[in-house]
Amino acid sequence: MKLTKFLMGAFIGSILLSACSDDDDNGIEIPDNSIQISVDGDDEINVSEDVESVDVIFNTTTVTEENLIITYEVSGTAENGIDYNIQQESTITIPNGESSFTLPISIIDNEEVNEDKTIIINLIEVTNENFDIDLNSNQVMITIEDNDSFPYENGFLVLNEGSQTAGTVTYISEDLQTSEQAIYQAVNGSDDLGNYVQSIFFDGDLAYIISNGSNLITVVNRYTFELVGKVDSGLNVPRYGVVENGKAYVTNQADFSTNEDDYVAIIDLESLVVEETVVIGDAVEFIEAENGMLYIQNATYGTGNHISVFNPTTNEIETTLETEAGLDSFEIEENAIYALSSGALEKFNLNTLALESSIELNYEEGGAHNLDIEDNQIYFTVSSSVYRMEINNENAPENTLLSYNTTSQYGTMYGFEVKDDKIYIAEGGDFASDSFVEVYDLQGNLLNNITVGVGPNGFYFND
Amino acid sequence: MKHFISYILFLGVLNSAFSQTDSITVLEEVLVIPTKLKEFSTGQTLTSLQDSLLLQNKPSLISALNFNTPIYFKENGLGMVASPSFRGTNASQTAVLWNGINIDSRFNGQTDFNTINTGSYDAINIRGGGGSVIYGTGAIGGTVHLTNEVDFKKQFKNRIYLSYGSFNTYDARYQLTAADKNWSTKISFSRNQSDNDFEYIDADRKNLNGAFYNNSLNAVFGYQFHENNTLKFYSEVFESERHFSLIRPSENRTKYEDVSLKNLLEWEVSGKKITSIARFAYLKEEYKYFPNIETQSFTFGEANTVIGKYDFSYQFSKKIKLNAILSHEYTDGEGSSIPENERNISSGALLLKHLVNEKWAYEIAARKELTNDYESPLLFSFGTGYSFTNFYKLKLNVSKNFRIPTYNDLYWATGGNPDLAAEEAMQYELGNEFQFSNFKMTLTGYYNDIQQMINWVPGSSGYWTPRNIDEVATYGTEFLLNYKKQFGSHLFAVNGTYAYTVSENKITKKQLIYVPYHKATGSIYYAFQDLFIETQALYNGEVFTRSDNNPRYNLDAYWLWNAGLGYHISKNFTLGGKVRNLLNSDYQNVEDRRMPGTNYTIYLTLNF
Repeated sequence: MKLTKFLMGAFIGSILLSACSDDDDNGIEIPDNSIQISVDGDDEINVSEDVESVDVIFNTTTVTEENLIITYEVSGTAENGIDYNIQQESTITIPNGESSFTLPISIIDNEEVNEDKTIIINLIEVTNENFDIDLNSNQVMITIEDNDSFPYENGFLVLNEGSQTAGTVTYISEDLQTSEQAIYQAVNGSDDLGNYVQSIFFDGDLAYIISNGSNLITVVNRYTFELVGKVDSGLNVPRYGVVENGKAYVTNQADFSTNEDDYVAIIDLESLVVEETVVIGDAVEFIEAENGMLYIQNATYGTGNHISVFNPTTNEIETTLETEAGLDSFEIEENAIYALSSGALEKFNLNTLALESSIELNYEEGGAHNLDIEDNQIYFTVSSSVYRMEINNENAPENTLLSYNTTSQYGTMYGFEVKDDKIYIAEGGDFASDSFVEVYDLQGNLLNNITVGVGPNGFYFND
Repeated sequence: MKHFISYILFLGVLNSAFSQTDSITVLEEVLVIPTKLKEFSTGQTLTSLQDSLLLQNKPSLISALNFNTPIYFKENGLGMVASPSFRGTNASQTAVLWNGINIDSRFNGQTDFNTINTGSYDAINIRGGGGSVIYGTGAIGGTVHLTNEVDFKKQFKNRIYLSYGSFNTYDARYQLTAADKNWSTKISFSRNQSDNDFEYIDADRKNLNGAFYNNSLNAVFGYQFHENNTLKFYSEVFESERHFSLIRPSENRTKYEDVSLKNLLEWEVSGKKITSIARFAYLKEEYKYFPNIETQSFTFGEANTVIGKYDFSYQFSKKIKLNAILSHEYTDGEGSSIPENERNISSGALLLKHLVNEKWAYEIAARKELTNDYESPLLFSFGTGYSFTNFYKLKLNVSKNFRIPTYNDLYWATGGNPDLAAEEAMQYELGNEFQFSNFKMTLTGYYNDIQQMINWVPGSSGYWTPRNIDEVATYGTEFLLNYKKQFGSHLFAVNGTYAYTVSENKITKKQLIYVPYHKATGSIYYAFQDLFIETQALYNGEVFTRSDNNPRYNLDAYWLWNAGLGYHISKNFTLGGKVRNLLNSDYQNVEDRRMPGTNYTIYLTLNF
């Protein structure tokens, strides 16, 4: 994600820069008896790491009878001998009777993922006193764009909760054309993620994968899936987590027979130790951070109707808001909390927690699930269908955006996500064999159906 | 435990009345097979494991059967929940009979083969194929008969068996037999316990939270008013606590407690032509599951079952016998997720056996149940056998069998489905039996068509629910071989079994998970004078673990090999040892459940 943004920035920057320099070229006259340097007819170029070589041209405006020895200096973030090789160290000679010299720079294509690197060449001086360095064309910059990426960088992850056996993660490329099953096991050998992997939360490059059946959080690099560490004590049926101020807050359901003991585990991210547990006294499920506060859904498996506001500086519940019965999911967007219950979509003011609007949802096929707000559109699912409405619309949508084929009523829409211009649906299947995910465009056209693991329950984006 | 102590006290009082005699009688080995099973198995094949063999195996029922029968077992880690797949059927399609009474759990229709301690029985008889007409629900893949014998022969015997093995495993069995012409008593006590903390092979970890113990106390009393008028009473209490093994150390430590009580009173009056047997049985099953042993919270189930049975046979001639069985079963069960429910099932069965001549016999039988709880089909069976020569016999059996919906299926909250019907299985079996003096071989082919099989599927409204949706065909072959030879002071015995099993979901055309295509067992026993050696081998074929048969997740086939050595120090005293898993196979019977490598046991047997 970050890398792409940087590349985009660099690219746009280079266009702007080159545009400027064109203007400069047009506006300023080239002095006589001057030396210029250029690369590909310009003073800046972006090349891929695998370009092999780049030619830097040293020009003279006037051909003379004597050799022109030009001194230059190389700087930039790239290193000679590691990222590139230059034959001549610091001087070149334009031979007598010639108007230019070509200095080839060979670019080294490494296998590592790294930041883009630059080679900057500045003209310092020329031996012939009748000649000057052209101050408008005395520098070139070559940006070497990295052509390597981490194995799981440009795509998304599907979390498969597993059933009798350990959960897995499937990687699917951004173009939906390639996928790889059980990537954690592939990278880390015989180790696994534990039973019933429920969710993943992120902090920078790290992914925290929660297994509720094994009381385990496995920490991996989200792009390589190499194991970083584990939280393996202090958890009791962990569900969801979020990071705030260098600490992770993870909801735990503990004993299934009661909500009284449900708690939030506060984990130090350096030591991966549960430092403190705070009993909430009500069911705990999704947790989100917003403006320094944590919002915890007090509803599980279709039962419950509260969202608690937890202050991570005092570790106390500050207030609790009440929703319609059967709270399914919530999302915080534009200073509001949107709460989806099986029969209503409610909007609460984030600051005052006052109910601002409520829309009744009444569908023959069943209750509403899987709230997702993306680009000012609200999405939710009912049975095997997706509904969509404008965020400010006051009426519930009547028509489905799309429906998909499922044979598993319990596993229908077991995972759901809308991201940018695509809709992602996970089918739970029979929970005894590999199932599938489907990806649709925003018009509801199926783009692809991809096999994943047992019981896929969520999507996490790595691009 | 409380139940157990009070039971011991209760039996102690009874027992003292009978322990007056001290004569010792040495009996030659006689196969202990219940009369009904022997008479009405025409066209089917019986395997009998006598108590001498049971002593050579670990005390759990799974160990006794796994190495000696074609039945495949799925064991959720050593000593943990174990269920059979008999002829490719599922865990609730094998009926376990305790002295003729069906003891499959009323909650799930299954018997956990690690909650039966074989130390209490005189024999375990196994019959492949249908048996619902006589033995009721679940007798689809086959039936396992736990048998106690009442022997009116003057004797007084004590037997003590003590063994100690790897992982701090103790197995202690004591049996007292005292009888005279008109009374008989047998008391058995078995205890089995283990830390079960074996090291994983090639991994820096051991089995965690796997410790278990169980106690089984079994008493049998018989009183003969006169030769044709006998009263028998069988009673057993079993109590166990198992910690369920963890797969990963961070998981919650759980445990499971079982208590079961079985009682049967049997009154048999016979005349020249008639035999009348009245039975009255009381069964209790109780379990508690602690999902986290650090808290006191648990879930439970408790069911009390009372069975009244009347069995009347009329012998028209030496060759024709007619048998009518009427029975009524009342169950009252409840659990954490099951509201209290009472269930009444009445049934009537009629059986006819005809020995046409010395070579040819057949039987025909039918049964119908009446109950309000579910739809129940008319069941029948037909079996025949014909001896073409004195060494070859051809057997045929056709039967319709069933498995009734259990308490969990019907009443589980939430998800239980009160509209379920019984599973129905139509079965065809053809057996070839070859017998030469010391050599016996049976080759059986079968086809089992199971309709409206109950399967818990992900249902609507966010919970799983059972439905009569699956159709499964199981078919295959079973091969059994026995050879026994004595020459001079040498005794040589060989047993072998092989099963080829297809168990196919007829809708998806996929093999059911955890049913191997191949399973084989073999054992050789050799004794010379007072020394004996034995070896057992088991081959378990590859199994699927995913319903779509994706081979990526298959569990590998494995071989297990055991060997033992024993010495009769005196007539009454035997010392021996046994090595299990000699090849140190790193195998898994259930995915992610590691099993132990090579392990050792020493034992002694005392008879006095």
